[in-house]
Amino acid sequence: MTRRKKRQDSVPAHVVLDNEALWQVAGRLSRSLRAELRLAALTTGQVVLPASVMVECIHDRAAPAAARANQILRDAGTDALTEARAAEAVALRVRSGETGSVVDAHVAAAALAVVRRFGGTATVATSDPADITRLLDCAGDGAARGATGVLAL
Amino acid sequence: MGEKPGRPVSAHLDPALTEAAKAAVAMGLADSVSALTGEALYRELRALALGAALDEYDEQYPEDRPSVAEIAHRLAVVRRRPVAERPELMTVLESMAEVLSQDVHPEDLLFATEGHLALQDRTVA
Repeated sequence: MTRRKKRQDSVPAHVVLDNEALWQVAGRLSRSLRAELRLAALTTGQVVLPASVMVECIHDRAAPAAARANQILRDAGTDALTEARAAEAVALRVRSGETGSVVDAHVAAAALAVVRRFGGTATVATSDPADITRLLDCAGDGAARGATGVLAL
Repeated sequence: MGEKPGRPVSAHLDPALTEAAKAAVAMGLADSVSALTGEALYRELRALALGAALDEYDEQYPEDRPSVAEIAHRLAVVRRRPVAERPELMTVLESMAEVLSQDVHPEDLLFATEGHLALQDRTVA
């Protein structure tokens, strides 16, 4: 097959993985998530795996069952639930009336953080687009919110 | 703002790029030119590794491989391009990919499609 070359002037399209996205990466990728990951590869976007998603999915990178996921995620960045990230996640939950779970809040905060750090856009690949959208809508930073969106899985 | 210890390597960088990197360090936006260069290289390599992993995946599961039109459609959505709202976008992207190439970059396909739709709108008006 002919490999599509990256463009040097691309704006990065980052992808943040929620639980369902991680399950898919470990099992079988949907067409839509494949398209999103390809877009990240072509634009030098980051694939971000929030640490809390790893915990919720009991994702052990060293386990044999993680072999398939490791194939795709071998160079993905893990977003740690640091104090700063936790503070943003708390703010999102408070402003949204405690929408979603702790993991949802961390995922939304991770999406905002990757856009602030690297520019470009961030898409949260999630099976819960309503809660993630609600949390993102509560971002104090309008510019970062404008660059984030969701992909419903 | 010191350089961290590491193995010196020789790389031919565009002088303007080097000056811009030095300016970024002077402004406190980066720790050092080496750190900036290393991070950029790391990001590029990660993207290449992801692309290679997806190529392998495509070979394993060719039936669910997204077309360039589907990737360009997602690009329109994530960049919030006005054409993303148009119901005919996917059809036009597929037609344009037939004309250009299935190996065209999704950004080029989207730009070409936006141009085509803009021209179409003017003609109709």
